[in-house]
Amino acid sequence: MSAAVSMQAAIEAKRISKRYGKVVALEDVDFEAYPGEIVAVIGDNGAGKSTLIKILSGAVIPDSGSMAIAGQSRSFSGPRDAQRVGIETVYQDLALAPDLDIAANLFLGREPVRKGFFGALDFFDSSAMRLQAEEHLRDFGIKVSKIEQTVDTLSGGQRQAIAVARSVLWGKSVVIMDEPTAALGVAQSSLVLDLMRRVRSKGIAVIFISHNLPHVFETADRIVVLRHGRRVGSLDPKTSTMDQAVSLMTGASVDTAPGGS
Amino acid sequence: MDERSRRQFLQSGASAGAAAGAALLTGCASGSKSSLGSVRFAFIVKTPNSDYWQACLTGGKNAAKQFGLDALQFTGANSEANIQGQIEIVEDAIAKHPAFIVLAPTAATALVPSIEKAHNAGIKVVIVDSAANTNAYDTFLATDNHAAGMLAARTLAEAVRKKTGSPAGQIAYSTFLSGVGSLSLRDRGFLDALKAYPALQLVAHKDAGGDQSTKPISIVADTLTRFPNLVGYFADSLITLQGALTAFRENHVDSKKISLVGFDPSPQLVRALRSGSVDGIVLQDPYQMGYGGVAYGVLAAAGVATPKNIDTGVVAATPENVDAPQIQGLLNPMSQRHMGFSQPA
Amino acid sequence: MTPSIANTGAERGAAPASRDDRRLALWTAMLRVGLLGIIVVLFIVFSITAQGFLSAQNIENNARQMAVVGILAIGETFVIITAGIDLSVGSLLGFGGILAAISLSNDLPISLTIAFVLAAGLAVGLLNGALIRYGALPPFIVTLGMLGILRGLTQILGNGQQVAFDVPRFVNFASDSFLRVPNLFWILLAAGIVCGIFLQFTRRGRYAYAVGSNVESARRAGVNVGATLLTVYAISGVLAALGGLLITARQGQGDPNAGTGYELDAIAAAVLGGASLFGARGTIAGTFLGVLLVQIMTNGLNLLNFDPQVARMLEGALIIAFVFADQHRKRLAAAA
Repeated sequence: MSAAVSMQAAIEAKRISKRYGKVVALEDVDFEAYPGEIVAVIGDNGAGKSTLIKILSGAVIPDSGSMAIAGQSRSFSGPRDAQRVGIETVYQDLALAPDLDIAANLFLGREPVRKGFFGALDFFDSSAMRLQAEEHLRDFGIKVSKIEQTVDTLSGGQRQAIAVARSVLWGKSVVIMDEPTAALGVAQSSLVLDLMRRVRSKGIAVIFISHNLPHVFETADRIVVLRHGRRVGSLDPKTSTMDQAVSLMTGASVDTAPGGS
Repeated sequence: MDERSRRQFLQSGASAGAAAGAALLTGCASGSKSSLGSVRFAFIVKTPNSDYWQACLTGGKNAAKQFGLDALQFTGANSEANIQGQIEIVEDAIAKHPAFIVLAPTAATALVPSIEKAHNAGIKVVIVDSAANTNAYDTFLATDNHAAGMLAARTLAEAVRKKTGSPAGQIAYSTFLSGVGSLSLRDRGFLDALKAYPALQLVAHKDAGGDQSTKPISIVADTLTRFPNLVGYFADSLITLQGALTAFRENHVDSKKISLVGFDPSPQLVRALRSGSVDGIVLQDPYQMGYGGVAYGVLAAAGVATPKNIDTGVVAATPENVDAPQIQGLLNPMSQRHMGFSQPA
Repeated sequence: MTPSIANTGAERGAAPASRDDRRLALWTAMLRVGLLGIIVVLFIVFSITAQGFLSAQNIENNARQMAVVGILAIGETFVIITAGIDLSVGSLLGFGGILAAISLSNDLPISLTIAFVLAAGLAVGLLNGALIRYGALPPFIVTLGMLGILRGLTQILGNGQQVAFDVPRFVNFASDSFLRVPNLFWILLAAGIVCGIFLQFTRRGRYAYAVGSNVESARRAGVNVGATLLTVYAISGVLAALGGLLITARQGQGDPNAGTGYELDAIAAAVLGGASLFGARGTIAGTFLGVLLVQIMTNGLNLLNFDPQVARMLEGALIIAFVFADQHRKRLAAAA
């Protein structure tokens, strides 16, 4: 289910460039993701994948280029700006607080306050948080024995699921994931990939970086390839092969027509 | 004040005065003040952080001013319990090789190597206030702590007698830090004098372990709990006496029933003495220790044979005698006292 | 297919309870009842053996004596939860105490003195927090430096001496009681309840745990880490200054040495109460029990005429034992 032409991009970046001193991290890169699609960003080490998603998530400010969210031109000065317009990021280290329980992690930084007097005193509404958290996890088919469990008692896959669930809870339009399966075994990886598909089915654009080409080809609707800070191609995983992807990534003999420039 | 301690006091006052006079004469005889000004010395108390030691420092500073001496430092450790800190200060002073060092050792044994090192290096050593277990010093000026402890016991017994009709009943005492020479002597003097009052029964002895904050309070409070029929309490130092006073206040002790006697004054304790919450404060003369310490140091540095031990005397301040001039002089040691010779302009 | 992340957990759960699981449950239970259990046992033992232990006067004394360290320990708990440490509280207590005495000896009114001293504590706490967050310095270093600075300043302000004042109303407050409970204990109770509620039920309190759990995660989740750290160090500072006011009232004079070493007593109480120096663990109720344990132990052994140093040794041994048990439980939990 790739993007319909008539659809407006959930997030669109044009001619993005970023340098660190003399090192060119990104040069004139265009990127777009549509509601309800999974876009994978691949490339060799140093290709600019991390820089690109950090720019999309507001963590890095580009030197030049423009961005539009749902057609509206935006510029971010930090991750909070991106969060405000519905873009959430799942970092490789998950950014969970291991000693807090699941509900606390899902709502961390955005706890609902109680109504009235206690709300004015900054009291959070723990029962609302618990109920919403349970409902949300059920919605995504994530089962945990107790919502009061602290995150450090969960398995790696469960933690990844909680991190994704948190991003979906707040990311109304775009969820960005950095190597979501890197630390996981086979069974747990497939659970996370399934979860990504469920997020897609909610009409959210999912962007992820991965080194794992089988995972990319299994899950993505579209693959964007970066090399030396440039966008060197866009592949349709249904019609392309992994060899073609590797060729694009490494700059070896290119025997396929790149979809983008 | 009884006749014996008065005599001691006057004697010691006179001896310090004489020493100081002699020191001045030495200065004059050699022609100018500058020769004395070249006599450098270090003055090291246990800690500058108390009224008691400030009085001692003031005595030393006044002497230095009057004799025109060049003091390397007037200092001490950050607490009376910081023995290592004081050792370092003494070692630093020795390295500068002054003519003499005035030292109030924080511990009787731990400072011995440093004292002997100074002595062997030809530096004259005047010890004040607390003894050191060595002979490698020139003069030792201190309260006769054993006699002072005995005076405390007699004062306590007298206070108990006044309140209950006879010196009889349970008593207890607290020590600031066991192992400190001066305090051990006081305690022993206290216990020795108690033998004259067989009806006074000692039921508890508590050690504040050098704590300067609230342990001196809690050990007394707990003793009051354990022995509700106490008739008297003795505290062997300023800190423990203040702690005892606070514990008495917090436990709403009836000062008509229990007597409290201890060592060394503070404004709060003197107020308590006037109001009758404290029955006796044994007063030492730290000012004279400081003044005399410098005076004898000058003499020793000039090659004069100085007496090995000098008692600077004690008196007991009580609600009855607190306004007597002699007591007032000791209670306000920071006021420059007339030492029997004229002060420089 | 529905992704069921719980599968992995269920696989383990299906296995019969292993020896490790039983041991984990045992250690968890032990820790849960441990502190309170020891307090209860000590209470019973001392009630039987120590004459006067159960007297109203002794209970009042205990309540009064635990107040100041208890107040410091509450502040310390906040800081420890953020994986920080505040070594400056003892010195700040002395500083606040001497400021109070100087203020009162200059005939300033009590209300102004209190406001002034608490403001000083707030300022020091905010400075600690700012240096740690914005100066990117380790809490240990910042507060160790502050320990020295404040103690030195206190000695200079007091001219190395005790500062006398004559304000009976201020002094009497510390020795008086309300409803037969010492005023000092009421203050401890009030501070504990307010701080406990703040910590457990407000967002800023929850953020203290989040920051202590993983500061970078908290930041990325949108937690204002700077404001959180400023808050916890400010609380610690204000409470230390409050302790200074109380100790000066209690001693009836300003003592430049007041509070020396109290930072360690406060940390010890918090750790006994379950706070972890690695952060994210600790409660005000636990810390209160930690203070209570040390107080009862010291008092009971005192009444039994033990050397007061024995209580100190036991306190040290208990700290090691508790942290060992907690770590052991964690290892079992990680292995399970």
